[in-house]
Amino acid sequence: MTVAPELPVSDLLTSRPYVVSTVRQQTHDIVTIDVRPEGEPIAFVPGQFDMVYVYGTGEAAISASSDPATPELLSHTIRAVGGVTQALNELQPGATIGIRGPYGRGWPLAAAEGRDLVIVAGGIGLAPVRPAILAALAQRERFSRIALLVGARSPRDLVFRDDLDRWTADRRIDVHVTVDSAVRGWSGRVGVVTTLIPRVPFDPEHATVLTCGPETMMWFTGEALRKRGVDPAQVYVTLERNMKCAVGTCGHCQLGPVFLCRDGPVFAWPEVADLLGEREL
Amino acid sequence: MTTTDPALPQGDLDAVRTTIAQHPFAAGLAVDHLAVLAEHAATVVVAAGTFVFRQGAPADTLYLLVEGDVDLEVAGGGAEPLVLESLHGGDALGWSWLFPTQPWLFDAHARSATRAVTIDGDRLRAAVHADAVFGRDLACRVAALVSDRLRHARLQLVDSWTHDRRA
Ligand SMILES: Cc1cc2nc3c(=O)[nH]c(=O)nc-3n(C[C@H](O)[C@H](O)[C@H](O)COP(=O)(O)OP(=O)(O)OC[C@H]3O[C@@H](n4cnc5c(N)ncnc54)[C@H](O)[C@@H]3O)c2cc1C
Ligand code: FES
Repeated sequence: MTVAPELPVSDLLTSRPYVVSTVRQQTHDIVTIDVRPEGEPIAFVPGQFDMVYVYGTGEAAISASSDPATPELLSHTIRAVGGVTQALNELQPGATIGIRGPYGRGWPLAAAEGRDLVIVAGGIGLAPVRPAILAALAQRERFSRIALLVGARSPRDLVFRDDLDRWTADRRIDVHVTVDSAVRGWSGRVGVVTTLIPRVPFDPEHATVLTCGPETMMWFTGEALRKRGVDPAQVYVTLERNMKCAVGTCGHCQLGPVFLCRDGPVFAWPEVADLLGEREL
Repeated sequence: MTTTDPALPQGDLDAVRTTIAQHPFAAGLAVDHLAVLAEHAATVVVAAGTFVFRQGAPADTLYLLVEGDVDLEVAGGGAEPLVLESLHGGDALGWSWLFPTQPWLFDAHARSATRAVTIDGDRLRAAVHADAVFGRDLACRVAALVSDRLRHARLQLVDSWTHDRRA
């Protein structure tokens, strides 16, 4: 698993000012916010998250969704579900927010080298795997096949459409998109993301799979991968629970024996198979 | 509009049997069981933009899609039809023939020109009851199909339930 660059504890707990440079509306309730640091940029690895602070409102854990090669332009993709995420959705260019991080273990890209890399994303779940896709494409020769399987509730719930169009035209990655339902006129596939798993060409015995989406979707995906013959130890998921400190001290994110912020958010399937779907403590 | 497939002469049992044998639904099926399927089969082409079958019509056929894209749609209250699943070459469609007098619950709309093998459901049901070994094999294949579709439908349901949360 890729581990965060070590930062002094004081740095980990202090939020730094970032200025919003662009706000891109992805869907009716999801935006991507690009921010630039007022000080030095801080590197992150794909799969890590930040604590993003809207001054006067509060903090939320949000995964980085930008290219790790350009930490000076950091992006977060946020769905409005409550106070903080709604405030983040309403930000305008020029606004200043606070960010501390990055935190947690990232996607195991190094362990996937020489193997087929399969990425399964549901809905906004494409955001936390996007940095991994960009990093894998930047070192394309290190992987065998790269396949991206994307599912969304409907065509209007698809995020990063420009990327999907670009990657579909890029022969270095095999992109498959499906939606749960659509009205006539949608020319793509209709069906849940797991319907893609038996069809997409990859070698199940030599594949590493990264999956991100709602927990039920990841559970069904794990099952479909097992049926296809993928070793569960080669399947990685990223989990979400409420976070407070993000550094393993407050216990808010505890799930069974693990602290998601410190031990995750990326886990190998066998580490958390029994915990998927568990309620918060 | 459904017509017979000019690429496969009707009555050419060998050609039909080969097409069925290459279909994932029939993977590993015993040779004599393949012959039973072929005996009750025809090959068809469905023009793009037309219906393979309509909701409410008797569900009396098993379709093995060879090529093309078919949308399963529900049409409701004058609104645009909602596509619930798209099926493609290699997919099987229809299991209601296993039980007599069931109607299709959806429209099946060919999004592109579609080639399929159709197997007569009444005769297939009779063959299933006449030969216990054939019947068990076929029932298991249909059960696997139903189980897959049920999983997909459940995930679809969860996705729509969790709409207002993160999805
Ligand atoms: C490691 C990690 C990475 C994350 N990455 C992202 C990301 O990239 N983009 C993004 O939009 N969100 C992400 N989240 C979720 C995000 O942190 C929460 O949505 C946010 O904290 C909600 O805060 P709020 O004040 O807006 O809503 P609250 O008022 O705290 O909650 C509003 C409603 O949303 C529900 N809710 C809160 N959090 C979640 C959740 N994680 N899943 C489902 N329902 C939830 C609550 O139960 C409540 O019903 C991530 C969470 C974690 C732990
Ligand atoms: S958020 Fe405090 S221990 Fe994880």
